[in-house]
Amino acid sequence: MAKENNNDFMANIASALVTTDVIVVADFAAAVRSNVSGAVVTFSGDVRDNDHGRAVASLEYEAHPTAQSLLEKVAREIAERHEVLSVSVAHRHGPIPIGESALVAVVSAKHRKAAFSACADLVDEVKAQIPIWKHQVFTDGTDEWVNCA
Amino acid sequence: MAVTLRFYAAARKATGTSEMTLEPSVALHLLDQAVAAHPKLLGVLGQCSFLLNEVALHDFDTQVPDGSTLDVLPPFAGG
Repeated sequence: MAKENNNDFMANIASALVTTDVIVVADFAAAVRSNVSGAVVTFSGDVRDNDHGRAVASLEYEAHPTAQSLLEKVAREIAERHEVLSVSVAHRHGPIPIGESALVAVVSAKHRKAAFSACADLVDEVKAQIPIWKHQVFTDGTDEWVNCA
Repeated sequence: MAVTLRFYAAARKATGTSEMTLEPSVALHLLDQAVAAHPKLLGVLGQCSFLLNEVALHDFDTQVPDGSTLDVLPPFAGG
């Protein structure tokens, strides 16, 4: 937990989770909040019912066995790179219903600027570095692995 | 003596299988054999990254020793 008597920047918590369970952004936001944090920025990457103008019927994510350890590494890197207090990130895999979160990223910091930039950086790094794939089935019965023409 | 090639996501769709077992060889030769067996793999292979025993592989002349796993990873699409 953050120490109240520490006036200097110290990123003390970085947590990461790859799971097939439901993930809810409010739960993760509550976990990073503390009495020394003046800002909590949250991001929820949600499953949409459409992609490039086509109606999506169902969606599933696949995770490589190294996804958990790589996500931990990314969370630690973000905590080290920004003036933040706490970083928490979770990626769900398996089938995910429309409207539920696939990715949750939350950051707490003393000030909003660091929290905003760290959270944006975290999401970008997750997309770039974590071996997770998205498979979507359209309402016309066709399907695709996203980003793989 | 065997090595395992593992195919994920679009690479698995292209091969129709999640794994292939081959004799140890250099990575390039293993991938050539995979394409020969599953020609559709060629369409995605150029976009893929590779892990040899969970470490990024960049040199395709690398010998893949007995008992190793070579993973074929299509472009990531998390988030």
